[in-house]
Amino acid sequence: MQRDAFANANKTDYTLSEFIKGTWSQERPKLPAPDQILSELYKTVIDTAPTSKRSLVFHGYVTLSATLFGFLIGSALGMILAILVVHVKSLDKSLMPWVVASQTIPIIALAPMIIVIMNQFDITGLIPKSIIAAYLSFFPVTVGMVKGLRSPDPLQLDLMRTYSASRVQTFFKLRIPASVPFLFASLKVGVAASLVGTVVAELTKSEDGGFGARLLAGSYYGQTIQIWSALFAAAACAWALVTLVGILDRVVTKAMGAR
Amino acid sequence: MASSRVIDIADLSLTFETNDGPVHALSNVSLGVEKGDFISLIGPSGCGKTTLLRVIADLEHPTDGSISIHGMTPEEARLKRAYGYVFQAPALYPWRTIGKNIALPLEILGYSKEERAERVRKGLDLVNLTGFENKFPWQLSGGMQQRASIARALSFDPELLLMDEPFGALDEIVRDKLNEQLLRLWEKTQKTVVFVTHSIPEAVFLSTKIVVMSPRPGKIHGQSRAARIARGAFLCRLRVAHADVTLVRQDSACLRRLGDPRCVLVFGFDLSEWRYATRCLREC
Repeated sequence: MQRDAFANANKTDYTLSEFIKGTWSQERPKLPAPDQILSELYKTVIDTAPTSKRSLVFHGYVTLSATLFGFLIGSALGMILAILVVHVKSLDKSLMPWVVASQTIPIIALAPMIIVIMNQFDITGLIPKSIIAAYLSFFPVTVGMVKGLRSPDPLQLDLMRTYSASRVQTFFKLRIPASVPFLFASLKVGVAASLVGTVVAELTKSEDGGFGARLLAGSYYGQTIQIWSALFAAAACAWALVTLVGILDRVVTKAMGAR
Repeated sequence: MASSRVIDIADLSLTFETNDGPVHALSNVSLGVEKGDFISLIGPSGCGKTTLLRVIADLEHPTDGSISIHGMTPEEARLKRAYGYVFQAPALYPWRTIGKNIALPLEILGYSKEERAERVRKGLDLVNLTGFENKFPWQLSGGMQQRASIARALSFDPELLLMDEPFGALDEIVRDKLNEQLLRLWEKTQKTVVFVTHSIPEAVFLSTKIVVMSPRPGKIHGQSRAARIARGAFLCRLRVAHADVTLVRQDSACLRRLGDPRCVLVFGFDLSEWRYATRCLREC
């Protein structure tokens, strides 16, 4: 590629060092150099006004709002499913296989269908993307919460029985607090998964912007620098979200007597 | 006669159905517990002493025979919160402070906030844990945790205290101390206690009546009235040194007066500790 670039510029007498230097600063590299990604990030995050469609802050806002909304729906759904699965024996047998099966379908195949179908019902904007984010994030929450709700040992359960505690009392005073550490571990997985879900949804529904739209546009126009900087920005957001859940985890478990 | 009894067990049997065939955990157990008794169930592991306690607590269901607690079935007694149960492990909920752990049964029984605070304060005082109310369980030693669990079992003032090897996991020094505290607590509260242990010294030290059980199928091997050793007023201690076992019966008042242990009875000892103790308990 670099050879082609020199050929186009009618430059034939280049040295090896000029050649290497050229590969690090191509206008449209296949694999951009780190400094190219950094300067693109700087340009699109700090130099561009956040309201502009060229700003990564704008796209980040679009992605994060859908991610967080989807994460909320997904975690709530995950928790409700877990509570049902733990308390209704038949649901454990009948629902859990479907929950597992739901995650075996590639989301990249499912996302366009969900968006198209929802479009038929005039549901557009944030909701369809959040639904896909929720679809990815509910699973770890369900699995973790089921494990957590079942974590009290027989001794702790026997204790409740000696008090003739009702199921509701056992649930709120024993099962729920016992599940909290498990819940936070799966929320961390879930929040990262919802970001992935949102980005995948944005590949289909790119007109609103977002990191996914940015990736798609970049690949259309061979803008690898744009793709990579969007990827790094998405990774940074995922890191921030996981850290945030981690801090919340520490605050809550500290109040619950963790060392 | 039967109605004045706190616990009345007649011909009780319990068989667990397992994949390897039935296991006879209890077989034709009959036992009466009077009000104010401190009964120890003692025997080697697998003799069904814990199972018997769990039957009394309605945590297991007998397959045959009858059992009544204050004239009720175990289930009715459990629903009326007739007993407090102390497990082998403290089983404190790690996310609750000591005070909140003691308040747990009170919350479930629907006591008011003021009464909960008052009873928690009394409970902590009873087991010498005042000042530890806001500590979490992991901040306390094993012995203190077990004391907290005793306070929890007593918090709603049940008539009957069921204890399943409560000091089994503790070292001997702590255990001796807790045994003395438990004895004082029992004298103070006049509760009926059923106490499971595999330690002969512990049983001799604490009980007014010792029930010796033998394994497979679990049945009562012998019962001794430690009342004849003199209830409460006497402290008995079994000391193992070399091959000799010294059974020291000590008047607690004397002990305080003299300040040193006085040997009352000495037995020779050459068989296994268990067989010896069974014999010696029968002779009591």
